Amino acid sequence: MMSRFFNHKLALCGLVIILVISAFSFSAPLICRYQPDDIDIGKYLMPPTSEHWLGTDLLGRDLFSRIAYGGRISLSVGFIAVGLMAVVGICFGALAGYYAGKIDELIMRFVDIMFCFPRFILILAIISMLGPNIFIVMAVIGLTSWMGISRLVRAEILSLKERDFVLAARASGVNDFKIIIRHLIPNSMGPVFVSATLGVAAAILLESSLSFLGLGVQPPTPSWGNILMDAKACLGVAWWLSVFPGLAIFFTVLGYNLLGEGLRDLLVPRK
Amino acid sequence: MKKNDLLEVKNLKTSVFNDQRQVCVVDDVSFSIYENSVLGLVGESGCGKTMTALSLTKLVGSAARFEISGAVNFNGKDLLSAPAKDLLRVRGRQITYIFQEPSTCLNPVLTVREQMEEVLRLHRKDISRSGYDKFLVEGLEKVGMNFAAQKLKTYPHQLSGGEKQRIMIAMATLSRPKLLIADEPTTALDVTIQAQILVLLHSLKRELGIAMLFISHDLDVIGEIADYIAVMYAGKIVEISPAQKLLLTPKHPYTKGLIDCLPQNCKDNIRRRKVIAGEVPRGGIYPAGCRFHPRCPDCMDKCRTRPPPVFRSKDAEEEVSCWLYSN
Repeated sequence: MMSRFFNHKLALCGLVIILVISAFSFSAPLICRYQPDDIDIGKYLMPPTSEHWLGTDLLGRDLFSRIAYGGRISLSVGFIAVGLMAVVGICFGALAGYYAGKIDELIMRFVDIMFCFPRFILILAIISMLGPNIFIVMAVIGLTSWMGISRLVRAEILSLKERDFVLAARASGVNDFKIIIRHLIPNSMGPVFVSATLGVAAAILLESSLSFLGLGVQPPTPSWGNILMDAKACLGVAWWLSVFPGLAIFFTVLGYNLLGEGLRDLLVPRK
Repeated sequence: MKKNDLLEVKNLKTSVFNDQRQVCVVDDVSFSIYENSVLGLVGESGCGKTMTALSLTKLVGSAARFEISGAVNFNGKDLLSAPAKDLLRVRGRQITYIFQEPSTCLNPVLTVREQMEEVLRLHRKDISRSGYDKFLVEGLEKVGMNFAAQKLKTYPHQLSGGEKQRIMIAMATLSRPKLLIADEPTTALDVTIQAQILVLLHSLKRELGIAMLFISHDLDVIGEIADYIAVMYAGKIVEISPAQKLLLTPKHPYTKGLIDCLPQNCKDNIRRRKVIAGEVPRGGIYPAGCRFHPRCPDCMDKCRTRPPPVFRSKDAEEEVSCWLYSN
């Protein structure tokens, strides 16, 4: 399994990108010479120099530090939103798949309804009602994206529950709850891993879009999205302000997508 | 010696609803399993043997698709009318199962230890967690597993078919059950392993005093282990007798046919094995009268129209459903 993963060049490439970017973000206090909110008005809009590696923004804040610290926020939002999405998706999917019948019908129609909402507009509406806040952003992204996973899990469990080891577990007196938790869900994780990995990329993009619109992470806390929003004002004069955070988002999303595709090749059997 | 009933099945009937059609896969089956004895259940594939075994503890599937009626008295309690909660305490504790295909009966993502511990946690509250390891190793050694301590750490795909079946047997005996239901436990194994597993089951019966319902389509295998044999055809039991009597003096034409099919009984022409012409009726569409009559060499007129009742021998040890014995 591990060797197959290491032979899969693209997946490995994705993993390396993710690890480098994560290491860069989470060791930010060690590698950054400036705090992300240190304002130095005298050095505003400086292009990349040896002092400020990626230049400074309109308030003279160091862009390198802001991208590093912003990455922590963006990556965390991605991870926590996807964690939430996986938990909710797996719960609904497992219930629908295992109990079938009316419960299945009810949950799957609810999934269909959730799919009907234009997701971005729904998220915008909820956030403008509840107010922008990093935790609300995580929760809203997670709670509007679990439907795909619940469909996957349901499909897996529909076929898994007919397998002999489930019958054997029932024959040894294991109750329904433990059969779902211990025997069915762990066996249906392959496609969930793939979907969750790709989901991290989508969640990071979504968070960036929201922050870009001013409805995500609020300044002065940096996130890749709101750095871009600040950059919008001086797009013509300071190319570095939009290019570097853009590249950070680009590479992170690329990394997760490559890893997700690789995991799909490895974990989800195809005809 | 008076025999004590451990399990008494009366008029067990299991129906499946398929596309609004009701199919009766187990029809009016009655038998008893005595303490510390083995009842062999034999018949061709599709006769309802497995469905009978699963129906005993209501394992057949969702209640929406299956309907079970009759009575299954186990230790003075009717399992079919018992609440689901009570059944969870019977399954795996007093009645355990071994299935045909050991490679698919173990959960692929859990280690052997995790799967065996699950049984202990559910049914052996008398053992403390710290004692699990020793107990599991002993349990595996009892079923003849080499390197038991190492095997506990393995995943099912790292084991051979025989090893997996030994683990299934070990798991089925951990809770010291009163009845072990073995559904074709040797069918998926090759002949040498098959013999070893039979010897093992035999010794478990002797040493632990476990009664068994042993299902197989192989009369040879059944003959090795069973004290009583029930022959099943198209959802009904056609003959029950003590094993020796059934094998030496079979009564029902179907039983005779099965015995004639054994390789050692085809001495005159080894290249041309005898067969019972025709097939088991499929899809629950049974012929009128005796269900075996279209394939029966001794078919009489009344066989075609009237289903035969059960005829008992004087000592009540042998039962046969065939008009040949109506006098």
